[in-house]
Amino acid sequence: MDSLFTTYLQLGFEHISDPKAYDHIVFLVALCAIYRPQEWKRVLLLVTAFTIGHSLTLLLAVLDIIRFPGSVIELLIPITILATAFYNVSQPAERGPQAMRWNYAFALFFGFIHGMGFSNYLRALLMPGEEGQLWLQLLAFNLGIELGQIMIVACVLLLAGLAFGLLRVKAAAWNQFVSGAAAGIALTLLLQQWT
Amino acid sequence: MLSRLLIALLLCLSVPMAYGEGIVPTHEFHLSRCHINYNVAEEALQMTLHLFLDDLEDAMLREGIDIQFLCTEKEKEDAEKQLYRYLQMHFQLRVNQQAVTYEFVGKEVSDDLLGVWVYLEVKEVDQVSALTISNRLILDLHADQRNITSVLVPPGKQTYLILDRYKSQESLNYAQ
Repeated sequence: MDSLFTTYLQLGFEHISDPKAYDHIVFLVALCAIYRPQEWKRVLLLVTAFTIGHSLTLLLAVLDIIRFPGSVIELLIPITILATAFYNVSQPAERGPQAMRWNYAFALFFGFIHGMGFSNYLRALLMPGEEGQLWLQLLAFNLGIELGQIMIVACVLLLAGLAFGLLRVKAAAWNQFVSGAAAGIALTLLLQQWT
Repeated sequence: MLSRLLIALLLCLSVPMAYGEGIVPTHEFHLSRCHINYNVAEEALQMTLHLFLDDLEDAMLREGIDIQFLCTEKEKEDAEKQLYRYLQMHFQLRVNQQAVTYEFVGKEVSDDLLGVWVYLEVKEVDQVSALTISNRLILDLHADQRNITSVLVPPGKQTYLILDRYKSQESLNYAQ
């Protein structure tokens, strides 16, 4: 027995962290593959840029201003993973503020695409006669997604810290390993769409 | 710089690739919605359900009900009767500890054509002090099916339930 807020919070959290719908998880993993645990503030900003992006398209879709066909988004999401992975391995090891601005911009832009994916889910949840509560539903759902995202990137940074500290993995090797794995998964997802 | 160009190129290519695929509307979520509202003025419990048509037909097939082509031109003559039969098997209400029978008021296809809205009503309910909802619709089909159920019995607050395979029934108490 729950209120609207906690229900939508739970649905948002579970939607992003659902291991069966792992495309968003893989994107977040790719997004933070180039960062060391001590750069957690940058990662937090990056995730926030991603959230601003997906909140915007989510809002537009739920207000019925734009509709996004599910099959197109299913293709676009693996492409955002692939693009992020390629970007990661083509980056110099040291990042200045200029490069970070680019990274935030990409995260924001990719957020638009993932928001379209979230919107199809949220649209499948909304009931008629609840229009007055739409903002609360959106807020709770987005907050749930944000909490899920923070949990996922925290896990990745923790794993990176363990790899660096215990296994003496080099940061560049870690990036290539994680980005390569993400790209492989993205390619598989793309191929599934075609076959 | 080159990498940024490459990414921009990938993104530009992705849109025609996606459209080339041909847009088939899909839903990858195993969800249903149910809104239960006690209409004080009409002394009736009114229910609105949203079910995805493909899942619904599959779930009905599992119960031995032939495909009904619901909400299409090929819809069978007694499709609504079969749908009502399926609903009665898997969606039950108890009002004030008594099992009640709801009427089938009507149905309409959702505007994306993927789902159906079903309207049900229990008449002559003069007060609701306890309500038990059992919503097992489509649960046998997908392990991750969730039936989001919201209940509004004035003057009480709206209650949200996420019913699934592990917990498909919930009792609410409105006694003063």
